[in-house]
Amino acid sequence: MKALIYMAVLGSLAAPAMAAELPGWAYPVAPPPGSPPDNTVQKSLPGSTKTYTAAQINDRFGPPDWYPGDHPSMPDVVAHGKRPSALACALCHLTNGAGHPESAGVAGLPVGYILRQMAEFKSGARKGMRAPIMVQIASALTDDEIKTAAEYFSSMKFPQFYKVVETDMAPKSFVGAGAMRFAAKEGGTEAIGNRIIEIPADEERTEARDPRANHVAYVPTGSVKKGEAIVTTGASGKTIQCAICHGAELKGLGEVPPIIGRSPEYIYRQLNDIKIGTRNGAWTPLMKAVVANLTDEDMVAVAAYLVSKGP
Amino acid sequence: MRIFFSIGLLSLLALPAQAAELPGWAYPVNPAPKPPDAVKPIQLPGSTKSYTQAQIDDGFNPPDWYPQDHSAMPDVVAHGRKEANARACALCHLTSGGGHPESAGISGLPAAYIVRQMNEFKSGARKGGRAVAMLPIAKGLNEEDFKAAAEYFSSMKYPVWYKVVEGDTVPKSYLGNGAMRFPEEHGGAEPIGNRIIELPQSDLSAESRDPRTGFIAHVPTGSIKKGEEIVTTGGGKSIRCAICHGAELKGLGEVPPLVGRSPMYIYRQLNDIKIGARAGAWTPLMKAVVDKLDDADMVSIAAYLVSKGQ
Repeated sequence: MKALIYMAVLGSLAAPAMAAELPGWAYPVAPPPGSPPDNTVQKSLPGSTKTYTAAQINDRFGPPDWYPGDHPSMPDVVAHGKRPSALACALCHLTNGAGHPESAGVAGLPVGYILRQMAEFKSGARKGMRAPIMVQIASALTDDEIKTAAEYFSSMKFPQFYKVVETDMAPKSFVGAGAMRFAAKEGGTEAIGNRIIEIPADEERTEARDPRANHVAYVPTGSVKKGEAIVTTGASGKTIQCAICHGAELKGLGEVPPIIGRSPEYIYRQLNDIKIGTRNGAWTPLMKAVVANLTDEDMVAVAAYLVSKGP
Repeated sequence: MRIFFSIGLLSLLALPAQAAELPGWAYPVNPAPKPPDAVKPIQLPGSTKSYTQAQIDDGFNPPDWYPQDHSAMPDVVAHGRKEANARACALCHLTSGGGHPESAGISGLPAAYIVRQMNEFKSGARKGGRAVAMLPIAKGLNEEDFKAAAEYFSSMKYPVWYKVVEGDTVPKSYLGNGAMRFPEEHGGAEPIGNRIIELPQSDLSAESRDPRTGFIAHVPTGSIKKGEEIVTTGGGKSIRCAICHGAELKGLGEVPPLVGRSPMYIYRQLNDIKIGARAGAWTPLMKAVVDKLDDADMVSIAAYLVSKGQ
C-alpha cells in the first residue's frame, strides 16, 4: 500500500513540475513534417531580384539569399553548412543573423561568446529543449568553420526586429513547420496569460526566411514596467542588476552578450534553462544568483522589458 | 617664455602621474642579480633534501623540498622548457603554487582562468609592471603546457599563507635577489603610509623557495575595516565583489578566488586594470569596479581580502 502511495505522490510531483518547467509558448515543438514543400511556384520579395520556390527556401544546404547587398560575403559554412548534418547557419539564423523566435538572433554577439556557445552545445553544457539541432551542427563543424561563422555574425549589427505590444488578449496562434509560430488561420484572440506570443508581422515574408521581415511580440499588460524594475534595480535584492555584467545599456560587456531588442522567447528560455540546469556552461555560475528567486512572471517581465528597449 | 611654461607644466604632470601609477611597494623592481653561492648546503626542517643556493635558484630545476606534499608535477612545472628560455613554474610559484609577493599565488585558481592568463601574457593583453617575467614563459610554452600546468596548480588548495598585521609603522625593508623583499637587519621601523609591505615569516624559507612557510602582510591601521565596506557593499563607489567572485569570494565559475592571497598582487591587478595594463577579454567587467577607486581604496580592499584568508 505504502509503495502505491509513494508512486502516486511521485507521479503527481513529476508531471506538474515538467509542465511548469517547459512552457509551450517558449519551447515550441515542431509538428510532424507534412507534405514536402512546393517546388514549382516562384516566390519573390519586395526589393529583391531573386526568386525561390518553397523547396529552395527550405533547402538546408542552400537557403535563400534575398538581399546579398545587405551583408558582407558569407562564409561557405554560413551559406551552405556542411553535409550531411550541419545545416547552413543562414537557414534558421538568416543571412543577417536576425534569427527567428524558435531559433536565436546571433548578429552582433561577441565572437568569444558565439565560440563558447558552439563549444557548449558540443560538450553538452547547453542541453535545453531547443538545443539538439545545435548539438548536431556544432559536433559536425571544425573549429575553423565555427570561427568564420562567429566572425561573420558578430560583425553585423542586430537589426530592429520587434514591435512590442502590451495586451491582455493575444492573437490565437499555432506552431507550424519548423516550429515557427503563426497567427491562427481562423483569427481570433485569447487571454495572454503569463506568456509572450511572437508572431510574424507578415507571415509570407517570415516563411520565406526574409531577413528584412519583422515580428510582433505580444506581452502581458504591465510586464514591461515590471521587467524594468527587476532589470534596472534588482527588485530589492530579488536579483542582480543586469547592467553590472551586461553593460550600462545592456548592449554587452566584453564577452558578456547584449540582451536588448532580441527575441523575448529566447531570453525567457535562457533564464529558465539556467534556472533548471539545462544551460550549464563555464560562465553560467554567474547567472545562478540572478535567476534563483525569479518566478515565471518575473522572467516574462524581464524578457518583455528587454525586447522593448530595441537593439 | 610660454613654451618653457608649457614644458615645465607637462613635466610636473608627468612625474607624479607615473609615481602614482606604479608605486614601488607594489611593483618591486629586480635589483642587479648577484651570483648565488654554489657551495654551502641548505636544509629545511622536515625535508630530507639539501640544496645549495645556486641549485635553489636554478630556473630549470628548482628545489622540491617536500615531494609528499603534492601530486606528481608535470615536466613543465618542475623544469620549464630550457630550449625556449621558459623557466619552471615551481621556481617562482613554488611546488605548492603558494607563490611569493613578487610573483603570484596560483594554486586553487580555476584551470580555465590560468590558461586564459597565460594566453593574455602571450598576446600582450596583460602587460603590467610585473608581467614582464611571464612574457618569455608564455611565449615559450604551448597550449598543452598551459593546460598541464593549469590542471596541476588548480587541483591544489591555496595554503594558509599570510598573517596580517595592522599598524602605523612597518619594519624598514629592502629588495633582494629576484625582487624578494626582506626586513633590514638593524633597520628599525618607518611609517607605513599608504602601502602594504609583505615580508617573509622566515627569510631563509623565502630565499630557499620553501612551499610550507608564508608571509606577513603589514597593512595600514584601519584599512581592513575600510576594505570590508567597499568589498561587501560597494561603498557607493564600486560594485560588490561577491556578485562575480562568489558569496565567500572563493571564486565563481571561471572568476577567480580573492581571499587570503598576496595583497600586493591584488593591488597590482586592480591598478593594472585601472591604468589599462591588464586588458583581457573579461577585464571590461572590472572597469566599473575600479573606475572610482583611489590608491587608499585599493590598499584597503587588498588588506581586507588577505585578512579573510587567515
